[in-house]
Amino acid sequence: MGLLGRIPGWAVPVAIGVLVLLLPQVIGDFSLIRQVQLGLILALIVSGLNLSLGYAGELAIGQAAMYAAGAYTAGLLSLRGHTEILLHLLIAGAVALVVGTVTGIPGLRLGSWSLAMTSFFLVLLIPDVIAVFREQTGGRNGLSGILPPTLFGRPLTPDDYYLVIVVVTGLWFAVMRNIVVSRHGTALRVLKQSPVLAASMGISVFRMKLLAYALGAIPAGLAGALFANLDLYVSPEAFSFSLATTALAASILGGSASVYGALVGAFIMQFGLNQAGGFERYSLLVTGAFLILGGVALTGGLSSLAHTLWRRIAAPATVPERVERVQAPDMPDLRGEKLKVAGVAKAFGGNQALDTVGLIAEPGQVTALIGPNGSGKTTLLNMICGFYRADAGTITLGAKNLEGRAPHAVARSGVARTFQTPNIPPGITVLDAVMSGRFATHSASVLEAVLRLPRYRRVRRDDFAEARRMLDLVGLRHLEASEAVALPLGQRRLLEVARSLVAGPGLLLLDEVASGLDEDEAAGLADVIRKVRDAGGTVVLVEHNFQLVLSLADHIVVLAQGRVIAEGTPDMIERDPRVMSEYLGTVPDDSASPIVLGDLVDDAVGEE
Amino acid sequence: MTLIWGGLALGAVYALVAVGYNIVYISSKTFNFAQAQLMMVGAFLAYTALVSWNLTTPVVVLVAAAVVAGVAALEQVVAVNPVRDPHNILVTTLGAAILIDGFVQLQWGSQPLAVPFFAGDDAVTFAGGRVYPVELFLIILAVVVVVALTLLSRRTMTGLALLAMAEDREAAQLRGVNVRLMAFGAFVVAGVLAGTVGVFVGPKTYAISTLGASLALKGFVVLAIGGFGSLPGTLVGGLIVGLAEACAVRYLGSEYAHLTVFLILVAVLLARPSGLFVRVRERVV
Amino acid sequence: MRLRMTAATGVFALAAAMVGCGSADGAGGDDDAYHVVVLGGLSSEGILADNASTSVNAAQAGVDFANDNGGVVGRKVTIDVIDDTGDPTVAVSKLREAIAENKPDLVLNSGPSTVAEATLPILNQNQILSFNIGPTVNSSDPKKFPLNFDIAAGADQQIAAYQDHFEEKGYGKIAILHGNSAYGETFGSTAEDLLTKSGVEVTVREEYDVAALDMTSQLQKLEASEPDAVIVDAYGAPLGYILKGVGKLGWDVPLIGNTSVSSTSLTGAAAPEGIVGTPEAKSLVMQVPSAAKRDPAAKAVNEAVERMLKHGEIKSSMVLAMNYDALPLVMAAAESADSIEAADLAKALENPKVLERASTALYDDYGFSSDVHKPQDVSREYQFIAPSVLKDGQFQ
Repeated sequence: MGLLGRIPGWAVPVAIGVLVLLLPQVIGDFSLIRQVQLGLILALIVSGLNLSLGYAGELAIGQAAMYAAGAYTAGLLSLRGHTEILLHLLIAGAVALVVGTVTGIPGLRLGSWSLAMTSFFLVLLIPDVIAVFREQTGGRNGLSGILPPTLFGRPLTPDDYYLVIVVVTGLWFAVMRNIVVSRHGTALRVLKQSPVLAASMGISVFRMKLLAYALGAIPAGLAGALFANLDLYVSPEAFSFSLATTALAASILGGSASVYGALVGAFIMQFGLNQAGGFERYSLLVTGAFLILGGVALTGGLSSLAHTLWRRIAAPATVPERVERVQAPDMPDLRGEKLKVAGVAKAFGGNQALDTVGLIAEPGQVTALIGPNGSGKTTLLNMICGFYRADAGTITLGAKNLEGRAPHAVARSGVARTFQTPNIPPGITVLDAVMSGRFATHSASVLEAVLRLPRYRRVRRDDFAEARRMLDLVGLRHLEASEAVALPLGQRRLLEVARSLVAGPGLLLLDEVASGLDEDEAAGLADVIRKVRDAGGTVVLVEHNFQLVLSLADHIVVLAQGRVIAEGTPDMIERDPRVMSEYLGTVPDDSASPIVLGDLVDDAVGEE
Repeated sequence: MTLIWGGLALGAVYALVAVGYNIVYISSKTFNFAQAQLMMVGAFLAYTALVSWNLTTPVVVLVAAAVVAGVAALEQVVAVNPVRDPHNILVTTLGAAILIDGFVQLQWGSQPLAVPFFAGDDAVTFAGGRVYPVELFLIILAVVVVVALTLLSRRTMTGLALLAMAEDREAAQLRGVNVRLMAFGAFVVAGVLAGTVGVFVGPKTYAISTLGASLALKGFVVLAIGGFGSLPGTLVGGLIVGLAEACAVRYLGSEYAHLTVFLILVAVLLARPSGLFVRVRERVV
Repeated sequence: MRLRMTAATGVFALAAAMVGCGSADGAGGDDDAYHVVVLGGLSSEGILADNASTSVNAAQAGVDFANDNGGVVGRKVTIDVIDDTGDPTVAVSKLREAIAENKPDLVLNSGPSTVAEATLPILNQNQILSFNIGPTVNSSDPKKFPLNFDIAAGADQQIAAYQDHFEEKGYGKIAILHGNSAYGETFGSTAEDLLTKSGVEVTVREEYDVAALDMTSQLQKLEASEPDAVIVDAYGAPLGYILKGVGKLGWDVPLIGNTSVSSTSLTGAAAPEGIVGTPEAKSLVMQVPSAAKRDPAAKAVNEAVERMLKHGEIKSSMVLAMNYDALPLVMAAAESADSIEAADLAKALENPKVLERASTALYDDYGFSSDVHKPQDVSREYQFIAPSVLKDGQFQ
């Protein structure tokens, strides 16, 4: 076990890559070599699909169009006498990137189904576009007469070309791996988990999706160039809907949210379906049954299955050792800013959710926002975060005007928040989850990430240091390598607080942060919040737990039916008869203690 | 006018596919890729029953509706119900579609089969254009189906439950709606619809094993233009797509048919992201 | 991640095993035999499958003919069938595989032309003699592909036959309607060029999408140009849509279908399965090679039909039985050259005497020459007939 555990993660893929590279020397079988080449080309397409489907969570099968763009680009270059394979790859990749970006913009602007639809349609359009330019592309009859490829002016033999395909595919998968394990990979997972979460962490949903979709075009373009130079013939049939569905099936089978799943899925489709010798008559039946079976049995794909098995085998080796609980360090200084909400109004249809609401939250104070269900607390929170646009009024943080900004822009100006239900993407560690809080505010480009340039390394180093400091603060350091979503609720809440703090926000919004926690957990959480306050942070707490609010808040604002009905110190609010009556609907007969009030409110946890 | 009737008839067929998509979408927020294939099976059954067995049209409709409903039920049980990841449903129903394609090709061969229409196959002049009776019938059928389903969903308990599910699945479940049964029922209803409609699509398009593939995407586009979950939207979407296609072919050339539809799709989606008949809801958190 | 790769290796091994199984059933064996490979899209989607079946059937019957008549210069002839699913990429894979295993002496390409485009360079590179049913722009050019012969008449020959027909009927203005398939595009543009050159006025050339479900728009455009007759390229359901559209418009114009039209099952069956005898079919005539019209006196053709029936039903018409003639051609060439080397055979096939001597069934004389490797002067071998019942690949 220990031995297995010590092999670095990249060693196995590299070893297999070398093995595949040497395949022709080992096995001379032509058909196997051919299938491997086609399998690798398919794997490139699938890998691009994985970036958008598996990591960004957008179903789009436009890769077939980018594959076609790459293939025709290479073919046309070759017909004009440019046979240099590196040139083909470069230009085909660039053309595919352009096609991906241009076609991605309208679909992505609209979100899930629209993108799926426009990408489906894009595939349908390929033969039409080729037909419109039939003078150049040869129309339905295809593009023939492509010259054999050269490398630095030297003609490539079929054996050489095999090496080119393997190396290009290998390099792409290295790039893909570097993207996925980088901060961008985490950001994509965040995006897939929830666009709302991504936006509130300062990630521009649209740009991130476009990034994934456009990056996913590159391998498809490379695949196209490789294919055109392999068969020296390109026709529209190679880019049909069935190619798109084959790639989709391969992605699902291999596991969309995995790097090497693309290879597994592509090879199964290439070998399994195309080689079902003698079954051609039944090939549609076999394909169909295969897709159903694969989709039903393999949630998360083969790679997820393998992952689970691996855990079973290797789990004992990775049990976290008992870490001594370090004394939580003091909070570093936080430069909290003053939040000022004035005269904000919002109506949904005929329902006035907020009516001229005003609120001020000072740095170094905890400001609590309370009120019964439907009083508009969450609406106000969402408005500060930029998810709703106010009908009237202003929201400012320090000197910055937040009103009218997109959610990710609001987040970038220093607003961090937690959610009623902790919102944490699956498949990443506690440490990664916390680090993701710094993605937007401390950035490094994809290129820097892929090439692991110094700036990326520096940002990454700071990510680690800051995240560990925050984990120490909330007391989760010993769990940093655990899978984040697997933590119990209380720890997930602390994790969210750590994630919100890691970028040093000017304003921290905590939405129902104590709901579902037991007393110890709630007390621990209160400690953390006090530290944030003492460090100078501005904290706004939306909370049902009245006891917690009373013990923690410096200033309380009470909302009811979209209006502020009272505000002041905990003492004042506790004794305010109007708050009592609004909260309970009636004035309690018996002058029961406020604890009753708190309990009653606690029962009404949940949706607003 | 002849052009318009032709476009409308084809648009009606697309709309009927889209209605099938919608029934399933409303009930379970999933997308049944095989809907057009189910319709195709209906067309082939109509051929067999009308030509080989010499049955009368009402009997044929019953047979086709029953058999296709069975196929749809089977699809739901095998390819939809056990799937947990919603992404995978697209794949499994796509698998079902391909499976049906393959089965149809084995069973009925790959040549087009002519399906007779009960009201005759002679073109008539109607409202200033030439049109086949079956084309008029398809247009009427689409309108009747949409109106009937809209009324049903507003007036009956089942319909209300479906609408409730579309609004909020969990809430509907809490209030005692049997979500699983409804999802199953929706496939059966979509199957009945596909079988019935298939009997009348056959005379227009022939029973041919590539019919499903031709209709599936257009139905999808109609759905997107009209809006996911909107029944009246399918009629308008069908009208737009059918007419746009016919006019593009007539005045621009056949290679521009898809391009034109695509541009309309993109334009509609940019102006109204969730389709013409569905309003975007602002709540997010 | 590690296990993922382990799984990948497992799958890989599994796949490798499958390939091993797949390739174990090659013909191989008899080194002395003359080895033929026929490519056909037997499991292609839709109607093309029937065509491929007929082509493959014809090739098998041709091999029987050769073996019953002394083989190719005394050598027994063997045949392997490759199902290329009509997909050029698959065809390239499987052809390369076949060459690596047991290099064929002769390859018969059953079309479509995209498969020919993809496979011809490979055949050329490997010096393999080939006959091709799916003509491409260069496939009949001996300078490009010296070892390939297009065995199906090109669009030019078919159009030449049209010209005679037009003269006979007195049509001066012609409209053309064709599909957007590879063949449809070639046919349409060739027809326009050749007819215009020969002084026929082409009023309009219109294309349709072979996946479309309605042709009314195109037909209205044609009708507006007021032609004397319409040349129609259509295969399968589109033919039905065209006839329906013409009927709907109430347009009384002669429709002259090409060989694709006559290969569609609708034209070979009575109503309700087909259109034979329906009012829709009245204005339609279609082009067929003589071999596809039943003639009790045509002995060679009838023998071919009988041989083909032994290999199963003839699913489409004898239009697609050209592969049958490949074997008699090779036999004659091999005899003349006393060799089975591809280059020698190709040279012999350019010799008119050899071609005359070959006991071919579909065309009397293929007219190959050192300038052009496709049938010449075969337009007289075509007829224009009304749809009628098709039996055993022949219109009765």
